[in-house]
Amino acid sequence: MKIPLPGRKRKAIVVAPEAKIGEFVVKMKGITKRFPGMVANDNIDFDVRAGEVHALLGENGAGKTTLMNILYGLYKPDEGEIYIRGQKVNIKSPSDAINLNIGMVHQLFKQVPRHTVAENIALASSHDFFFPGSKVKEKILRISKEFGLKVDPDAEVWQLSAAEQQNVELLKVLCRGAQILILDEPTSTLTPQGKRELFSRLKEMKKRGYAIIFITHKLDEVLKISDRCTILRKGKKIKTIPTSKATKRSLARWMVGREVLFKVKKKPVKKGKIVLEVKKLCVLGDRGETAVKKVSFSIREGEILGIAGIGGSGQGELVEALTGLRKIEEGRLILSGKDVTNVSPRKFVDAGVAYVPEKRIEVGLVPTMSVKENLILKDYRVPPFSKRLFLDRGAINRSAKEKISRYNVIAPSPDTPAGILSGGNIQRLILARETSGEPKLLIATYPTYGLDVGSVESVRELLLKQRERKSAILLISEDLDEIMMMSDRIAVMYEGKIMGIVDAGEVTREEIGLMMTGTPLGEIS
Amino acid sequence: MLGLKTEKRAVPSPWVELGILGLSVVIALLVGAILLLMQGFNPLHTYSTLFSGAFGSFSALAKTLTKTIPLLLIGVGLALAFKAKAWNIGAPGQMIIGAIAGTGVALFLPFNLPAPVHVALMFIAGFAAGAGLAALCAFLNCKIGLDMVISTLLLNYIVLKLLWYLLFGPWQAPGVGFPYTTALPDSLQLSTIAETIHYPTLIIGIIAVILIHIFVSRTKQGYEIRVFGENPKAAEYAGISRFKITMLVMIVSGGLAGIAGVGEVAGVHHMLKLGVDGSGMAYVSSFGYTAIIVAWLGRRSALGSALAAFFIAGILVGGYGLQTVEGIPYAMVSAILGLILIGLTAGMILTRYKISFGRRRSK
Repeated sequence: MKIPLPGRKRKAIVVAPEAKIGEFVVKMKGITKRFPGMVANDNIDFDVRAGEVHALLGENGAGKTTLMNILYGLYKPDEGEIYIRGQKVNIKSPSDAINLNIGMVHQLFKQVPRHTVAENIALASSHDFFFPGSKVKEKILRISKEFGLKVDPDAEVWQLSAAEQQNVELLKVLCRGAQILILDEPTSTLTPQGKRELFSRLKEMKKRGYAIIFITHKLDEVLKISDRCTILRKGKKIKTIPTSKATKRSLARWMVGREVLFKVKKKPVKKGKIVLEVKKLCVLGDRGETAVKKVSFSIREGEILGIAGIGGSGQGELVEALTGLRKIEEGRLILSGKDVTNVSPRKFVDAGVAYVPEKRIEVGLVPTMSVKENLILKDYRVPPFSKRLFLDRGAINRSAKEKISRYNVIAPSPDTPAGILSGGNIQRLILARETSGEPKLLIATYPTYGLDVGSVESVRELLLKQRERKSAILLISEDLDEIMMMSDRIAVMYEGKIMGIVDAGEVTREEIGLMMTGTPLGEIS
Repeated sequence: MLGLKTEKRAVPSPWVELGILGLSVVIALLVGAILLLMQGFNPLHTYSTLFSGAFGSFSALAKTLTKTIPLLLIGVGLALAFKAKAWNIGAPGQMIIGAIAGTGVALFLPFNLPAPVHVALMFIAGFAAGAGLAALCAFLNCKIGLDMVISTLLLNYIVLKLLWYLLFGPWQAPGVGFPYTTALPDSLQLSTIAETIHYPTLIIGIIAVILIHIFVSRTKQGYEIRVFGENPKAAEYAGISRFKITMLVMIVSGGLAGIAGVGEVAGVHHMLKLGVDGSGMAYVSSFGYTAIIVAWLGRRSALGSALAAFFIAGILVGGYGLQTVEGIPYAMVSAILGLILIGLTAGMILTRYKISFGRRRSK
């Protein structure tokens, strides 16, 4: 059945949503969606009221995005019914969804970088043949003022920060008259400040009667912004509850299906010899600026040194210098007593330095090659994986099977291309490769970034196991909680300099926060 | 709204691939049939002539195999280079410099050698010359960042001019006035089967295909090449040296092009002359350029390139037959060849994507 589509003729202008606050604007009943080999959504009921933020929570691959893609007309459900404002509808494409005033902000922004904001928005919302410049600009300014979305319509998209691009994306759907907003993990690219701003925008929209569906796997965000919350696990709905009745612990349990420990158990480990010594290191960034300025520190066996700092404070350049990927301009690097300043990346690999890179897929993986071939990326040159000239396929297969089960990497087979694995499994694959060689030094950059709770836990446990094995570990993270619970000592970076190095047990969050924003340790009273 | 939706295929099965490639040839031939009909030719008859001219008789097959030899040698080398993201467009130049070096060894060696050793030396010289030229480009690329597409391409023209200089100058056969050298002594001309197939070169080609196939799939260095070709950043992260990889694949691909050059001199023309790189054939620029298509059509794999070399050689030979036997104009023949190649290249892309009409369906 098809209902007359309200938005087709009307010029898309922003009107106050027609539904009354508290009224159900979306009802999805018994939605089932099967993909070859799996049931992505299994008989799911889901509803949203006008004037609420409804969080859709679940691990990677739980079926959140599938469910919303069905609502947005990207997928057709195999079973189930959808009601919009009480009327049964058949949403066959995104344009049907848009005409029903449904808007979706995707995880990855779909924008033309060389075009201006106004052009990008006009592309999405105007059917005019000529570029309706002034009309669109006027509309953008009006809506952005209404919701406090700060965007210059004449700026080109590539000049904008991630938060601003998100605003553009929101404006795009608002300009198309959306009253039911689907946000797919909207905070994944935002800074803490951008996140706060987004949340206050959402609260504003909520008051005006917009219905907001917020897809996420971050528990704190659910508790902070949502009114109700639906938890999915492996394609099934676990429950829908008012957020006020949930705690972080209970949400995590429903989401993962078992008790999740937010505190890791850190056994005392006796520290050994110094493994890495960094002496007054200076490194240039990509634009020729000095990104790392006279940084010195050392790490011992069985010790985790955490480096805290706002993203872009020189951590990335520092790590590249510590793995031979970036040239050291000044200073020295001593690994197990040997000078390794500016030696090739291979020398670092050979010396037992393992590295979990920040860009897992771009740097840490060959996505088109198989899981088993990715597992030997660092040790394909040594027995048992190779003899003289040739690779030993038998040994590679055996070791792959063993690592896949030991590290709990979920992959259809060792021959599957590694790129199709989910984020958590990719990270476990990289960790399996990097830690199975019993490294002397393990450098882990943002190791839990973007992973769901269950994966975060397994990654942290792996790191601690390496610590018990007496590996020296350099942990780089923006997550202060992670840094504080995992590290033995913490170094804080700000604008390429180290503000101070402190024992993790003797420092408060506030002190670290101060150092992260540029106050040296000595000046904190 | 009816729209085309594309999705990546996870793992295309070989049968699907073959089916799609076969279908794209059929579609190309159908479009070509329209062209032929418009010009008043009978498409069915034309195509059967094309086919029989390429594969239909013993002598046709022999001609096709002869043309396969250089395409195979160069194509398999380029497949390796392209696999490692080394964009070698210089095969025509590497082939000619190989032919020059081989001829030099054949005609101007100041001492006498037993014929088999002498022939082997010609091939070695050809390999070295082609490899050296390619290695120069690889070296400049790695050390000072000179773009390899530009350097290899421009060297083609320089080498061609060198060939002109030699053929109109010091190496010109005395008293003839045409741009070619004196013929190679009989002992240095390669033996043939079926009159035209100079099988020593063919054997080198087949060995090269097998070795490169094993090298890429089974060895450590082959693994490095695959990693580098698929993700150079991950290769750097794993400690794989770009310099070594680039030098290696360029030396192999340049060297094989050089061997192809020697093969053409010693097995086909029995002298060095203009068009030794295959550019004499009306609709072919040079084996070195055609082999680029061979390598891509062969999906940058050794075995695939061998098949593609045979197929394209067939089209070239059959097309030549069309022109001479049927009197179909040269432009028409090239148009049909072009259509087949466009069809195949487009089909190649389709093997990696699924296309569905209308609404997007599930993943």
